[in-house]
Amino acid sequence: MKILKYILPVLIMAAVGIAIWIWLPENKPDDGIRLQQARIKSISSMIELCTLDVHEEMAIKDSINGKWIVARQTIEGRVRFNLDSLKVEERGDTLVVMLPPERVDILEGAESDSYQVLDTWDGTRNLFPRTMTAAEENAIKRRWQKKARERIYERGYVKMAREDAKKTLISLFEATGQPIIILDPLPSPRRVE
Amino acid sequence: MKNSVRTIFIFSLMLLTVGCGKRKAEPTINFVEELHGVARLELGRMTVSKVGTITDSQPSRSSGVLGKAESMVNSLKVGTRLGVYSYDTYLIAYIDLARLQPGDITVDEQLKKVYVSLPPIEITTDGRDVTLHEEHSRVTGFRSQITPAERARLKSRMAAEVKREIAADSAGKKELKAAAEAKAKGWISEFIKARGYEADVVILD
Repeated sequence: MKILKYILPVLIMAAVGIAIWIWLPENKPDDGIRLQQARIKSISSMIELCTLDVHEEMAIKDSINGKWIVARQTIEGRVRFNLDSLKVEERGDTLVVMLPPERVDILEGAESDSYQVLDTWDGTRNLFPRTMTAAEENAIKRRWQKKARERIYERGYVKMAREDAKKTLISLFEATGQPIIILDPLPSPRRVE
Repeated sequence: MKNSVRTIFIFSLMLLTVGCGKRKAEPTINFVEELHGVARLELGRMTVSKVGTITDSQPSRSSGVLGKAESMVNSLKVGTRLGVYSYDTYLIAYIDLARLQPGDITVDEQLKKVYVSLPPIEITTDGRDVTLHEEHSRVTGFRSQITPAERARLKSRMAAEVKREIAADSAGKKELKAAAEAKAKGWISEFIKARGYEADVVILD
């Protein structure tokens, strides 16, 4: 009985504490992020043929000025041909089309989880480490964007895309009933700086 | 002596164990590469810009006792912490040429006319800028610098909201579609005209 006299108030207090913990709103400090309404910057028209989509999830581990970053990034690569500058000649009854040079676009995926920073550290200072600036981070991201573009060439994807572009253009122009020849001045493309 | 050696050994082992426990788990990254052969005739591009800021946390925007307390402590720190960032998202209006049927282009040699019936114009997201443009940044006093992880979190929140805003903006998409339609009709008509025919181009809805 004497023990109950001491235990009961403790049990009641614990129950009240748990109830308050459950009913109180979740502890969420303000993350300081403020967003403005998106706006349409431009609408433009063009005529381009896209024959290859490359979706790649890659790991970034790189440093700049002694500061390191490890991140995960989703890249969307496209191989495109500008048809506005398409050179078409008529030789007799045959249509001769010159396949234009390709353009390889590398963008980050538009999904919210397309870029995640996993770790950052200062490789030169353990005490008072420096934080990587936006300009430094952008320089690393541009470096990896260039690497992704080079990989698309190295793996032969551009060559594949050019073959597909030839096939698509043949099927498109063939419908007019005129014989067609597609000339490819760059059958084995290499990236030109 | 024996006892003190044993104590030092056990203490070192404990320190080692605690140290191991605190070590971060190695991040796992899945490498994925997908290739898709496509035949898209891309006719229009819309650029959508989004601006976001990282600023001091405010107690009024926090929830819970601990959340509010944490924000309150942050607001007491001396100095300013502000970063303004932006990036662009790109939308593409296109015609899927794989959906083109042999009968969709017909030629009337007598009338010197080509009838073209194109598949409907579709809209897709092309992607977003790889970099995050720093429009303005000012961190003073005892405030901590804005970290890459914070900027990545901001970009993630911006992307989620852009997606919602694009889905709700039917006027912008209509304008993009109209520009794409005009371009397709103009380019095909000009091409056919150069071959000595008249063009009748229809884009299906």
